[in-house]
Amino acid sequence: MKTNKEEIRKVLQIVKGKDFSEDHDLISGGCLDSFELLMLIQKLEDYFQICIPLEWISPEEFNSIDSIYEVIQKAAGQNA
Amino acid sequence: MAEVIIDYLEQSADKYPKKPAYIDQYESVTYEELRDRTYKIACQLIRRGYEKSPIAIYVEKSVQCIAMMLGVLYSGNFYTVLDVDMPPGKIKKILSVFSPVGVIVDKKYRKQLEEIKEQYDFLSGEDLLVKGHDSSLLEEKRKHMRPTDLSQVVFTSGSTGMAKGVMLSHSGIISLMESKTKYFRYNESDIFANQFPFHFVAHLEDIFCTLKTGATDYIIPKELFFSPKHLIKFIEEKKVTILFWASPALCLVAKYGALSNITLPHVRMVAFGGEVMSTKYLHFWKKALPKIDFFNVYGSSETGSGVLCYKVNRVFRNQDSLPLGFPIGETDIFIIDENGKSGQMEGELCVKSKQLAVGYYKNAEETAKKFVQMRDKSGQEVTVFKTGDLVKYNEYGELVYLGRKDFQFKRHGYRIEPGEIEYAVNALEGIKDAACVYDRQKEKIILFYSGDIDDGDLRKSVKKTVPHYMLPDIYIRLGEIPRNVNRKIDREKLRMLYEENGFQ
Repeated sequence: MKTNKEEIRKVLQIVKGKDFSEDHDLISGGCLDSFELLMLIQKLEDYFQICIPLEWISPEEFNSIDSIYEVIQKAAGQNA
Repeated sequence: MAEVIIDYLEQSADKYPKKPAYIDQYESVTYEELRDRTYKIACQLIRRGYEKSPIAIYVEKSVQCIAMMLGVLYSGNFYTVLDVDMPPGKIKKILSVFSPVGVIVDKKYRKQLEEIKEQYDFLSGEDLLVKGHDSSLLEEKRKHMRPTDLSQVVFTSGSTGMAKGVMLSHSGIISLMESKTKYFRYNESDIFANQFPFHFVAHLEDIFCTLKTGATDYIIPKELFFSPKHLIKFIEEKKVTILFWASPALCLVAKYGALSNITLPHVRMVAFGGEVMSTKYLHFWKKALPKIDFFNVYGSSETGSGVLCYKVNRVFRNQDSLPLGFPIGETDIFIIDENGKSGQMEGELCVKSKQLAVGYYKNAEETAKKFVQMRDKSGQEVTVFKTGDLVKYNEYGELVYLGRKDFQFKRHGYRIEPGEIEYAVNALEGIKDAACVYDRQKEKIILFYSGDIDDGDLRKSVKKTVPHYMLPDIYIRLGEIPRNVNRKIDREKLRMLYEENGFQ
């Protein structure tokens, strides 16, 4: 599966609005609240056709586009 | 018998000196230590000459924040807790209404407040703790405290752009502490896990009931709500017995699927409030914890937190809504029709309670509108709060919620007046007119605006004045905002426009 960071941004924009441009400190910087994180996870799962296990859901893993990228790669590997 | 809130601190500190009272991610305090800390803070405030005056607390949710709250009360003053995550614009508005004689600020957050260059007396939380206490000062103060004294002001969303503060007296909060302890049989062996923010009235339910009963309250680190698996583990490890949370927080855990294969053997009850609880997610919880009691609690800042309670006693379908339940403590309800006549089966809910707020802070006009006189069954004149909530009795004789009389709505546990968003947007340069509607199904706030402003710029400006939980999700530019003959916003038309055009 091919994932690029631009696609992750696209999903973030579905959740946060079309001009959302942050790529780090998403959680520590207060961009996403806990409800938005849940929404983001559901949208990422739909978009990339993956399943993100509950154990991986933590503020660190979703704090930046880079770390989200890692999560998606890992999840895609698991589901494959 | 306690007269003011701090009498309970004295009682618990005498009875359970070495027992942990509150625990957060940084520290744990015993009742004795908490009392000692509270004494120090109070004496410093008294030495400054503050008397029955407003003091703002700008400290993150922590054990330290609780010590500050109780310290202010011990000094005979009253407080408001400010949300450290609120944008400066909103903080400024609250402070201008509250006009505190002092603002207690954590070192960590000093910078955030310095941006709001105001004329307030800043007190560092650390400085309040350096000096020892003087018992004679405290005894003298205690003599002058009355149950009717103000204890705190809770700020909520107001439609006029002015911050609206709800005044709570000592006796109101004591009534809550007593009736809830009795109803839920809280005792010193209970362990609470606090979820409600301290600037919400509902924090009284766990933070203050802990104080009365000598229980222990864990302040759940905020990060755990981003980590559902760890949150559940936390509850299990800490042997938490009581969960009294905002409904959306319980739903969140259920939605993540974090409830499968859990046991939580220590939890003896789950209560929720702040917003209508989804029966679908309640099922998940009931399935995970089949042996314990679940309670739906209804209340608001003006009713001094929960006044009605429903113990879930039958199975609900997903489309059913949970009853609001029955009055607890010294509470009575009235249902009035459009002409204000009480004794209806359906209409606006009015609440009479010992817990009731004293009114709105420095806002006699709004107080007179919402806190009104009514005759009870015996013909006696009583003060009731008009909740604005429309309710009716169902076939079981239970009270159920129908909707709002005005345009207020709730999202993620926060109470929001569209008027507050509209007021903030209208104040921006380039905006001609603005109006908000709420899409309940998708949980989205839609902002309609007219004027000459770039969409991106508008979003950025709105962020600076509107708290994150009130931020609109969808922005729609119109040539003109539809208004009816009375110049009132035509929200029905806006809703139609939104639905017809399938804006996403």
